[in-house]
Amino acid sequence: MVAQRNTERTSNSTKHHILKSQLATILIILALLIVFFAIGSEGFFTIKNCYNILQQIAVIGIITVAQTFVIITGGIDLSQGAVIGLTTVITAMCMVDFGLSIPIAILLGLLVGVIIGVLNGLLIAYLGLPAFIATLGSMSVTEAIALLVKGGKDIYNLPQGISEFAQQGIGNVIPNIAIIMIIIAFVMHIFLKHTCFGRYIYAVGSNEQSARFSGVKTKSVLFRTYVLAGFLCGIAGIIMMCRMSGGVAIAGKGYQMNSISAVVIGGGSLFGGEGSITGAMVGAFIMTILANGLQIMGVSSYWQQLITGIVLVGAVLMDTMRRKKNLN
Amino acid sequence: MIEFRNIHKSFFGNMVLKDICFKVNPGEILALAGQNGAGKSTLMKILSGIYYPESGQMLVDDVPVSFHDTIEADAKGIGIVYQELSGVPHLSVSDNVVLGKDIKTKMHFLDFKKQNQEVQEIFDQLGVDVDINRKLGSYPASTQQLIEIAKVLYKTPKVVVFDEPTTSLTTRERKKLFEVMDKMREDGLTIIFITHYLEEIVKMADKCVVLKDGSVTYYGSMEGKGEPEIISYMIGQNIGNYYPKLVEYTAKDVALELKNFGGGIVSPCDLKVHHGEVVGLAGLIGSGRTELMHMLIGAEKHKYGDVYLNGKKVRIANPSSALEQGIAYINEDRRTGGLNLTMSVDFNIALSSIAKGKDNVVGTGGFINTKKEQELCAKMIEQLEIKCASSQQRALTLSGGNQQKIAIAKWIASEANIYIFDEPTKGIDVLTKSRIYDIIRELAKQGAAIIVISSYNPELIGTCDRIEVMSKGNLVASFKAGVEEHEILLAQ
Repeated sequence: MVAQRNTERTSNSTKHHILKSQLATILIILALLIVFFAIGSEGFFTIKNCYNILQQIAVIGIITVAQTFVIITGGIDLSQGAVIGLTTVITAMCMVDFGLSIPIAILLGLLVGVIIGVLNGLLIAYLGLPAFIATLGSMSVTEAIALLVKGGKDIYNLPQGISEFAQQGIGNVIPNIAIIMIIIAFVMHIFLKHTCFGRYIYAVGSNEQSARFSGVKTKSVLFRTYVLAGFLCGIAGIIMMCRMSGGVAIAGKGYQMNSISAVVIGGGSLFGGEGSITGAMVGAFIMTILANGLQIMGVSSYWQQLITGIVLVGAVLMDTMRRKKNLN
Repeated sequence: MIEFRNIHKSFFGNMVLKDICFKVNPGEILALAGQNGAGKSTLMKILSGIYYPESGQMLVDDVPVSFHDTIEADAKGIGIVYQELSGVPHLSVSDNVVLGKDIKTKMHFLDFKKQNQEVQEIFDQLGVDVDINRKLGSYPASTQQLIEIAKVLYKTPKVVVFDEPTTSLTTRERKKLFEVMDKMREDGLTIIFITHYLEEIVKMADKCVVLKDGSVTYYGSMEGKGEPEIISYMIGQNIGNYYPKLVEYTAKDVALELKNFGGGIVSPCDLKVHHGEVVGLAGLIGSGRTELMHMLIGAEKHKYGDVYLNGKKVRIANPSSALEQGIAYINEDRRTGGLNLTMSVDFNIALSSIAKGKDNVVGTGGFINTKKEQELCAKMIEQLEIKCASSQQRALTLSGGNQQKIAIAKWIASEANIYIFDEPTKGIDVLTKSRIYDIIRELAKQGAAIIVISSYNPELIGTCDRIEVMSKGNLVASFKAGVEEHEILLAQ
């Protein structure tokens, strides 16, 4: 047979290239932000503030990792904030009202996340509900349960050591809770990138039908994704409880907006099939540093919200424009 | 009348069209031929206003034009019937046809009565029986393609470009399309016709332009020209035998057997495939062939019967089971079910092997052995001659032919021993088609049992040891190699 000549145009970037470019862009944005705040205010570029930032990002960082998995499959998890709230309440209740030991209470708290994850997974993977609707529903239900359990009252007087754990860290440099976040992010990054399950997540997100025909158990993959996400939110909830030294039903309310923004800034597509933990974490840092810096500069929280929204839209716009340019 | 004068176009320094010059007159059909990547689509996109030429001129009725967008091209009477269906499935056929050019009453409300009248007229002229009030999405792809044509005709164009219009059509629908094209030619329309089916060029075209690597290698009348000549202009030399030589590899033992198998539109049927045998499944679109195969691999539930692999009854509940049992199904639509186009070439090639847990890519604990994976993908790319600049490229940046090779590579990598090809050469260039036929025979030589579904009978005749014909959900006839096409057509 005649050998075919290569007439393929290589004008389109490789997927590798696209991801790398977005990462470069957002790292630059991050660097610019840091420089801006360092110059703009005294208290920003200090070790103490660095410690604060790491404390502030712990909870959101963990749920961002969870949201990354979900968004890559083409779904979305709106129940994250509610899970955090309910987890703090249940865990605190176990310790304060039932006198259970800390490890047992934590286990039960994690179970909360898993149960809601299972609920989401059943609705979305096996009953075919759109993720938006399913998690909107589970969010409402979970919020309600969190309020009903103690009539909306906060639970305090947690055992000694909990709040200390949340405050302390290695030296004055890295808080304990940030270490947990970093470990989770790292492990999940490896998981997503180097295991079969990670591949299935990208396969289901990029084309569920094709994935199914290729032999991927798509329903099982989707189900497990939401269970994993729920579990990770459970961990975030425990950490939140430590931070607040109590069970607060409305703790974490609305946090999923931040995790979704972080994933998208990091290059994730709400259509599925794209996204990375690295990018999402940079996105989370951008948003946390933005909030922290503006706070230090004394900017009111209303303006903070405005600016955060602008940065989100700006980062996604840049990503969209870059993709369009690559296709032409 | 359309004329191209010295059109040049390049992308990122890559020259994709060089000095294109030719003319099409009213009342003429000009066929535009060439392999994938030769520049046909690019040239038509310039004509329709999607791209701008770097240099050179385009003239419509002897007047130089420069289109800034498709609306301007539209206004000048240029209509293109694309291969990719772009209708809105939730709207009715009638609404789809008038989309963008609605008919309004004096009060600026939509005039449905007049709209339906005009749309019905077009379909009557086309001789196509369609309920224009039904949702577009309820019609199969082949009918949707005819509706695409109606959509273009509704705008009463002066020039109509058909971009691979017959890929989803059955023999009967193809015939109808050619009748329509004939009529359009008589009515004085200017027609440009892109197709990979060379016999269609010979049958319909008055003139032919062949593109090879962006240049015109032939521009002239079709008088006395046949398929071999066109092929030689397309690739620069003679292709020799297009279909592989049929050597008998059929073994005695039965690899796959369906007993009383069916459900839905497929009546219970029996089918046997031996190791090393290539069995073709002929039939009209809608005859149930794809449905039968989907039930076999567990993508759809079957109601009756059983599947036997190497004499043992097996239960295949989903495509994942099919994969485990070594059954490969190469989907008829790369875009929706065959490939993950937004992912890289490597990703696609490795996917089924990973899903199967094959130790040529998967290590302990569910971790992927990246090195082995890269080796596997590189081997497949080399073996199947997949043309790509980098295996990290997104699959959608490759031509249709290369995409199909990736889809096939995915299953060969998974070490399947039963292959089901569903319309394997749809929308693919001549050379790649030939290569795929070779691959099919190669797999048979290695002992695989193969089923090929195709609506293009010559291809089945050229590659299969045996052809089963399916009609309205039943297996109605069986032919051995050497059958003539008309016999198959009669049975369909």
